Amino acid sequence: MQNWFDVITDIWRHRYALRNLILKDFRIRYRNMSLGVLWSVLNPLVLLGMLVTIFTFVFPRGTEKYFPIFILLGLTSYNFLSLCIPVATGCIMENSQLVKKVIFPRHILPISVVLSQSIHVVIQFGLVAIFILFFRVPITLSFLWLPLIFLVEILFVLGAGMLCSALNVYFKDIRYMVESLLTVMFWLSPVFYSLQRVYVSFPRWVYGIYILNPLAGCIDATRNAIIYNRPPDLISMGVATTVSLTFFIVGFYVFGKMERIFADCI
Amino acid sequence: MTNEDTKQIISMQHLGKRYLVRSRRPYVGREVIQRYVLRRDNRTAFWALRDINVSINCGESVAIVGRNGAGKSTLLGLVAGTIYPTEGSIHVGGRIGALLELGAGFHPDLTGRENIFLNASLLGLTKEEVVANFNSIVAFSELRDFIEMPLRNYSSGMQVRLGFAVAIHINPSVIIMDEVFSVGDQSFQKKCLDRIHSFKEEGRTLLFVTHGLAGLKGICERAIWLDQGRLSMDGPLDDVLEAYTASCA
Repeated sequence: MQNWFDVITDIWRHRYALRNLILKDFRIRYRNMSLGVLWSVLNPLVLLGMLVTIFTFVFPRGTEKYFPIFILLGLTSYNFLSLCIPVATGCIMENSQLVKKVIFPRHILPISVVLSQSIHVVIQFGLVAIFILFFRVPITLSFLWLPLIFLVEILFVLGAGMLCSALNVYFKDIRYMVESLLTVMFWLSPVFYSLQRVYVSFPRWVYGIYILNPLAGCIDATRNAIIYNRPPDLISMGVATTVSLTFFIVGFYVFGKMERIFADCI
Repeated sequence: MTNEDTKQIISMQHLGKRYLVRSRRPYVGREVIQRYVLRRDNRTAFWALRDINVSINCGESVAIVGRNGAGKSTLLGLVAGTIYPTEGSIHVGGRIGALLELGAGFHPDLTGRENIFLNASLLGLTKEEVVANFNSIVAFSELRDFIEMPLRNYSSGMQVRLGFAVAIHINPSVIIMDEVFSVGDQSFQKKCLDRIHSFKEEGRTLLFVTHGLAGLKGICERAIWLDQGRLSMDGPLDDVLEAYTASCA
């Protein structure tokens, strides 16, 4: 591929293929099951329901307002990564027949995987919305920050997905690294604690490194919007946006460069 | 640009493709240690193609012959754009229809209809084009009664028929076929051959790889003989086939 413009127009020309790939993922996942698409609602519902129960009755004295919601928002944001990135990592190898034999912009493979997995993230957010209504969290104008936060997260996931899927074609152990990195990121993200806690308990430079994880800023901003009726924290969300954008550009670029050797390596 | 140039649809200059063959698949850890600590590269170079200079004009039908491993499929891949050259250059003008493998990307759990939509859109058709061509694709494949069934219930011949039907509907100016003559039963084969002839009459460029040499007569007027990655002979079909057959005896 010659330049960015060509690649992007080529992807745009294949937008219908992108749509069909997303539909394919969704169809084959649920076609052979009796409850069908209900599973993508039932599974997270069970998990979220258990969490709400635990943090309402077993550990009720969280220091945070609406503690169960606080946890659900952190976990759902993290699930964005854990649902999308591992599947995206393997997507070129999974579709090796396509990559070897059919000419189309390869970028649409990781993009389609991330978008189809995002449907499940959206479903989880929908379930969280039910709990938000149930706990009578006041609905405010701050909720309007959510699409922006979602955009930052999806840029990061797309970038990381393209990067990992390209590297995984050459190095077969990338997907194991991804698994471990995601576990590390789970504990290094403010899922079970608040970003404020990190800010007050550690030196400033530790906090500076900590917020390089874009999830930190995003989870904090999501909680600000829903629970505290506040705009995102400028610094942590600013860093998150920059890092996500960088990941997206680097991922797109590396994928475009390595795409040339895909057919030789698989 | 002269008139001569505009008619040329495929041109290759010193085209070469090298594969670095390794005994084991690369892992980050091992690769980094070997390359940067031990400074050892245990890959061996293998040139699948080297120094190929060929130009093909618009409307020509060319057969590529050669023994197994001579680089025929590599050449087709380079023309199709699924693999990139290591050295030299290749230019192809116009939309390429590559029938490298029929039905690549078909999914067994999707129905025939869903697979047509997925496959055709991957090959570059827009939604309107797929919808407009859908009936014609189904009619050509003769699979009307099975179109709502998942592909895993199809016989292998039926799957190939569906793949061929989709592939010929993308309206390419260059058509590349890698061993697709053995498609389906006798009557379907005849249908495919008729279709190839009509492509030829419409002035499209055809590129074939096949071991069924008899099938080439009447379609191709020119042949390229590859031997161990090198261009061995390029000329009229009969001459090349004669020389090639003689070398195999």
